[in-house]
Parts: sequence; C-alpha cells; structure tokens
Amino acid sequence: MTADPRLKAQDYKSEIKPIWCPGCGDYHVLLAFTRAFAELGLAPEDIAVVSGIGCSSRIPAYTSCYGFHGVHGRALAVAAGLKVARPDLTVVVATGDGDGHSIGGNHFLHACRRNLDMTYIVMDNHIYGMTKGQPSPTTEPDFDTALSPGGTGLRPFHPLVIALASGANFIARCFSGQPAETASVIVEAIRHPGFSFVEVLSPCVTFRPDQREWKNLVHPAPVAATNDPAVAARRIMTDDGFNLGVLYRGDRRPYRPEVGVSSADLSELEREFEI
Amino acid sequence: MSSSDDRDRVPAKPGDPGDGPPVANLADLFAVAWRIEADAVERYHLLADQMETFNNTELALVFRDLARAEGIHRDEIQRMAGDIDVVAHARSLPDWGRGESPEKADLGDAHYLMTPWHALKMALAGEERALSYFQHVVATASDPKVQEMAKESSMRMPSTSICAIGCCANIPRRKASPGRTIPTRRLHKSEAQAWFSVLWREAATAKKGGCRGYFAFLIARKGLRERTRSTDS
Repeated sequence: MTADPRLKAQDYKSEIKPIWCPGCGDYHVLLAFTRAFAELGLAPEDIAVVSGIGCSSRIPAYTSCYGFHGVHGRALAVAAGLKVARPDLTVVVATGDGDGHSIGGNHFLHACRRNLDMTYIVMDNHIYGMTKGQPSPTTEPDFDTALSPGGTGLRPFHPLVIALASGANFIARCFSGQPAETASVIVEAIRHPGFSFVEVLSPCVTFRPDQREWKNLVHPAPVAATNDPAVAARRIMTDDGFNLGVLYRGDRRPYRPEVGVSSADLSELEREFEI
Repeated sequence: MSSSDDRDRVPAKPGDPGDGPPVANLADLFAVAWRIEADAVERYHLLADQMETFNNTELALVFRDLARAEGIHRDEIQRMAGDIDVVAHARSLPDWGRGESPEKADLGDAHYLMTPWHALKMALAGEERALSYFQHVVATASDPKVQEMAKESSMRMPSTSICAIGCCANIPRRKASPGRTIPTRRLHKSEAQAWFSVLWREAATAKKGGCRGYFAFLIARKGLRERTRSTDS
C-alpha cells in the first residue's frame, strides 16, 4: 500500500448523489472523508468504509472505496471481522449516535477494548433523524418535542468518556462545519495505531434547527492532547461538549491476531477427533 | 490537532484570503481562478440536486442558473489563459488550506424550505469572498503581471455582486404558503374578512422582502375585493 499524491478528493466520490436534507452536516463530513483519503494518498480499493443504519450510514455509497452498509448497530462487528481477515485494508467505520451508541452500544465498548487498528467516526446530531426525530442516547434530557413531551429526563450518554474508559487509543471531537480541520483529524486518526474514535458534531437542521448555532459554540481545545488517561478523563468529563481537536492519544499496542497462518498440520487437527 | 497555539486559533471561514494555494506566476493565477469557478459550478449543481430531491424545483432552477453563470466565467478564464493548460495546472494545486474555495456556497446554510432570495444571498457571500481573495493576491503578489491580472479579476467581482444584490432586492424573502391561496369561488363577507387579515399579515413580510412580494399582495387584495363585492350584490 503506497501513497499516491496524484489522487484528489474528487477521486473518492462515487457517482451516487447524496439524499441528505439540504444543510445537513453529513455533507461536510463526506467532504472531510474524501479530503482525508486524498491527503493520505490511499488508493480507493485499499479503503473499506463500513456503516450501520441511519442518515449518516449512507456515506459508503457516496464514496468510491469499498463499502458495507450493514445491519443496524453492527457496523463495528463487521469492521472488526474485516480488519482481522484483511489487516492490509484501511478500515473506517461511519455511523450516527443512534446506531453507534444505542443499538450498537455494546459493540462500541468491546471495539474500544479490543483495540483493533481501525477508525470509528460517529456523526452525532443528538437525534434519530431518519425516523423523524426521536431522542437518541446523546439527546439532552430536556429536549421537548411531540415525540418526547417534556424531554426524556435521562442523562445523556457521554461517548468520549466511555471510549476512554473502554480502552480506545485515540479520541477526538470535530465539527462538521469545519471540514478542513475534520479532515486533518481523520488523517491523524487513521494514521494512529489502534482503535481511533472521532466524534463529529454534525447538525440535523431539519429536526434540530437549533443546532445551526453549533458553529458559534464550538472552539478549539485549549490544551494539547495527552496520553495520560486520567488527565484526559478529567478534561473530557468537565468540558462543555464543544471542545474540538484531539483530546487523547494513547500508546496501547493494537490487537493484531494471527489469522490465516496456522502452523498446525491438518492431520494433527483431525487426530483430535478420531474415535 | 490540539496544540499550545490553539488558544489563538479562530474557527475556519470558507475562503479566508491567504488561505488559498500560493500564486507565484500568471499560470498559477489562471489555474486558481479557473478552480474557484469550477468549484462553484460543482457546488451549485450539488445544491440544485439537493433541491430537486426535496421537490423545490424553483430553487433547483436558480442553482442551475448560478452554475451555468459560473461555468461561463470558468470557460472565459480558460480562453484568457491561452496556451496554459489551466485544467491540468489546477489539478496539481494544493487544496484550500483551512476553509473552502471562496465561491463555494456554504452547504450549512442550505435548507429545503429556502427561497431564491436565500440562494442569491449565498451567491453574494461567495462573490464577496472571491473579491477579498483577489484583493489579497493584488496586495501580496510580487510579479507585476500577476498583480495586474488579479486586479482585473477583482474589478469584475463588484459587477457580479451588484447583480446579486439587485436580484435579492426584487425577490421576496419568504415563499407564499400554498395553504394561503385564496379560493377562486365567491366568498362570504366573513370569509373575505378572514382572508384580508391573512393578507395583511403577509404584507408586512412582503414589504420587507421586496417590491415583487408587495405587488403580489396588492394584486391578491384587488381580486379579493372584487369577489367580495360580487358576493354582496
């Protein structure tokens, strides 16, 4: 796998036209994806984009890379299998907050713990947009709509803290409205060995028009990334949720299982089953 | 990536002057100018596709028109460049630094209920970013030929901007709601009074949006009066 500097962001776009709502943050995330891939100079056939279900999970179809639009919440399971079988591929997983943190919440914990060398990008809009605006695990407790009268009253899920506690090796937060910065963080996440988790705040302008205000709320993290989980935990747990940049850069060794190379002789294995 | 410099960083703005690819000679300038227009064409087509998906055909046509206009500019630059292969040269240029190409409309500003007024407002913002980019090149270029050509490019921008401002002034900001179409049948007095109040409320918005919307209100009110009179008689 060699980097090709001639590849441009346009080369990673497919012929399929996105059908996200106009103004959706996911358009910018797609731009950031293609820009990051071009910066890495990876051939489209050396990248696999795996997704689950939801608005954001449409993204593999809009790239020219290998793609797998999978089962709801199971994107990480599929991606883990792929990475184990084909460690030469660059595996990028793209989901939303509902798919990734609710339906696929358990896979998230164990993917962080397993620390396979892949990149997990969650486009977080604090809502189930595709199904018309139900509260997701990251929705604010007082989000009051016809579908959640008075709000859920539930404490929101904190993906970055959970990723850190579960063993993710790289943690970052980006804002879709800053595609250049998002692209450079994605590049770093892909290059960093082990499981990299990137939360992209991606507004849902249809069901959360208030999120248009995010562009005025986000700000760069005031301090450099740390490799100390205790320091990172304190920072992430006490920030305002709009701190952008790389927040944790760990040094755990990625999990690389030996597959496809068995030293055992087949006849030896058969002997075990002899009666 | 976070660093100690982060405290001084400001959020990225599309097409910040000085953010673009370096311009060392005339070939670079033509290539950058060509790419700005080509990027705008691509972005307007993307927005038109979005509007078609959401059945906002009126706005899709506006974005297609804007794409066509930018396409004319792009081809004109290619013609002006003569023997320089601007397409190949533009491809070899690095990406825009932190923001996007100046004339690319901001995708985050789009909405499926937007009107041509909003589209032109987006176009105007793009033209203004391009203007400040070329002004930056004029101020920083060391090659006099580059300075001269960049100056010429920046002089063209105000005319485009004036067109966009003029269009914005004549297009209502809000689309008339289909639910507020006055029935063509004869109206009872009470119904007519209800419609008058609806129109009166809309008039306030139409006056702000531009004269076309206000004329629409006047025409609708005239029709309503005529029909009410015929009902009373």
